[in-house]
Amino acid sequence: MNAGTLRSSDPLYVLGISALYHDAAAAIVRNGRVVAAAQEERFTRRKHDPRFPVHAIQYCLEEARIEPEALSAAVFYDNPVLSLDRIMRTLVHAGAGGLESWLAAAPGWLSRKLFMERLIRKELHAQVPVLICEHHFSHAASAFYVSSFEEAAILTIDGVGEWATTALGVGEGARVRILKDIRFPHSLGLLYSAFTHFCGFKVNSGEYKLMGLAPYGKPIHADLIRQELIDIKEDGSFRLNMKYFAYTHSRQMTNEAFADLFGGPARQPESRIGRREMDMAASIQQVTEEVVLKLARHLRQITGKANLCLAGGVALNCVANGKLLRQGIFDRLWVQPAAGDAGGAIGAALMATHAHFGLPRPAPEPDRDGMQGAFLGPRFANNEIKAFLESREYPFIEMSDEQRARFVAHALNQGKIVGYMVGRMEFGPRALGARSILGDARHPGTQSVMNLKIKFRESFRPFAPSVLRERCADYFNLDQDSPYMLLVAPVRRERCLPMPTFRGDDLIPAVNAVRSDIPAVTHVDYSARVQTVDAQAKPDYYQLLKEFETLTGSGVIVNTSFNVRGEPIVCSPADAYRCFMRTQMDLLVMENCVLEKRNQPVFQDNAHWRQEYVLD
Amino acid sequence: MSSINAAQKGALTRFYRRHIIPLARLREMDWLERGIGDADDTYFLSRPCQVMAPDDFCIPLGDEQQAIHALEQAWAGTPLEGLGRELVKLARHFQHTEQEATVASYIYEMF
Repeated sequence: MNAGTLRSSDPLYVLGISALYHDAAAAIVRNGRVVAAAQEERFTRRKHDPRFPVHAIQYCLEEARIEPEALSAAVFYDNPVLSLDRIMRTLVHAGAGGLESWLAAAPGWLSRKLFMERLIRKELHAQVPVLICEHHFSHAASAFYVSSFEEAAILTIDGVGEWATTALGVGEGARVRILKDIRFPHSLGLLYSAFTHFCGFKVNSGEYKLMGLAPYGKPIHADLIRQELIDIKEDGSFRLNMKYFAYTHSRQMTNEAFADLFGGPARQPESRIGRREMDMAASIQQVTEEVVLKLARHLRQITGKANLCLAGGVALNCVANGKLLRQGIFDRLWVQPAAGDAGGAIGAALMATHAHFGLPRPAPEPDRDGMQGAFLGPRFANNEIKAFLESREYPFIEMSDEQRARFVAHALNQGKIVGYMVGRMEFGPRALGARSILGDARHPGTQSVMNLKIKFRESFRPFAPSVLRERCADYFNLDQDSPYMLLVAPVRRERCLPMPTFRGDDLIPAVNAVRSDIPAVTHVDYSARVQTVDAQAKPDYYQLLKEFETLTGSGVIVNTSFNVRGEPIVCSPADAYRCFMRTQMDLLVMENCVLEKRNQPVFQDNAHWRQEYVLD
Repeated sequence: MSSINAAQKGALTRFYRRHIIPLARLREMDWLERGIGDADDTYFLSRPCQVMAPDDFCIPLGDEQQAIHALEQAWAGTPLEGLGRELVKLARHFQHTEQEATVASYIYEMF
């Protein structure tokens, strides 16, 4: 299969697929531009669903308005031969101890991954050409090709993909190169995941919680980590001391030696978080930042590029990203919003478009990336939503866009919590104003209400602000676009309030302390995970923020994902209504339909509905 | 992960004992060592090929013969040579396994 088999007038449609590890997703690219992308979990309602993404693929094809036969290729984001090589060698290394890992992994390999071409054709019901893209090329392509940079250095860091765990590369025009890498078992992502698990959070999803916990602790173990667990060179390359890790020879991340190093066994999930976990979180966060900054400095040195693109799961560490930005190592930074494996679907499709089919890269638009605000998922038309509500006799009011913006702004000003579902669903882990729960950032009680009565999640977890782009510098030490909530920045000093020193290991007083004039989005270390909103990427959301600003003078609101703990972000009107009725949200907005909780009929629900979702 | 029955588990266990354990006894091998760093002051490894050429995307994995070919090509001249054919033979026991919708909470899915 090569470019010669295509007529030059045919549009080139390439389907990217990431699946069978975690966060399965599909993306479709037309002539080098992303048309649609979605994670399978949004359709199946199983968080991080790794299964082959039949629903996401179906959606992508519908959005592109093509049948599978029109695809020039379907591209898988990981090379099964290289991955199997790593796995078999790891099992041999483990010897008898590897049997448990083998029993867990082999069925998936022998039934699906080893016959990837057959699997994809079977699921698509079409004889499409199937291509394979290497894992870190998928990540690198997902960051570079959709950035607004003509050329850039590229840094990808994740748990592991095939053999590589960290890769340094460069993108120039339509060409992506990976210059060098660090290989399994030495992995910054796996190191962070090891701490995540030891601190009682789930691997593959709890890393974000560990990052949120870090500011409550002190990095008192950072030197110990450097002395015992990871040897870091000046160029950012590193090796782990495998004496403390179990993942090469068991189904555990760490071993007893690791526990001994940190004074006892791992914290049990859902048990009380103590001082040790806070300090461990702060320590590993500091070491992670050190590695990322050193890698970036080295990458700048060897490539000479002024711009940096980031991807891989570690690129979702927005605290490290914020520090990277403030260090000024690169002039400009762009992070793929779906930096984890889901984004590999976009990268694989783009990589094949340019490196296999030889299509030139569409000229990047200055200051406008190719992710369309990450709004690449399904949209439900107002008529569809009305039909859904009317068929179930759920009372609603229909409003124009302008009325809706004013109505929601007033509701937020009254302290109401609003479920907001307008436009195409986001691709990636963050809700950016299309499937969001909104609140008033100025209200001191918003954080605890949203955590405990809406999200049903741990009270220490901070919320993020959406801020008008033009007002960003009024609130935060940040004056650049951050549309994907991937940069953490300090709240401006003049907005901060002194906070008493809290002793002991009770998080609650620290969580509830009012730290600034936007307390609901000010983390314990006076930082915030900022989303800037401009009129071009999300006009309805911008309009809402403008109305709120007109009404209150504040250009900031709280934005959190529209779901409860353990649930994937809502996709459809039915998902949104169900979540609205199961929580203490006051208002639900679905396109131009607005529903008030007090007007809704009694919701017939399973009393044990929370058990539907495995806590993350 | 996928759910398996007792017969499948038996086949996997036998395979592991017959093919993996003997390799593990080759003590002179460091199976995870992928080369030392490019210099004393780095752990980076250079990549033999820095780009993906058009043909690098083409790895036929459509049937048993193609899978054997791909694996044997990768493992030619290594102690893993011959394992591809055995894996494909073993795969015949696993043509109808269900996919699990959950991801392990205690270990990064790296296998």
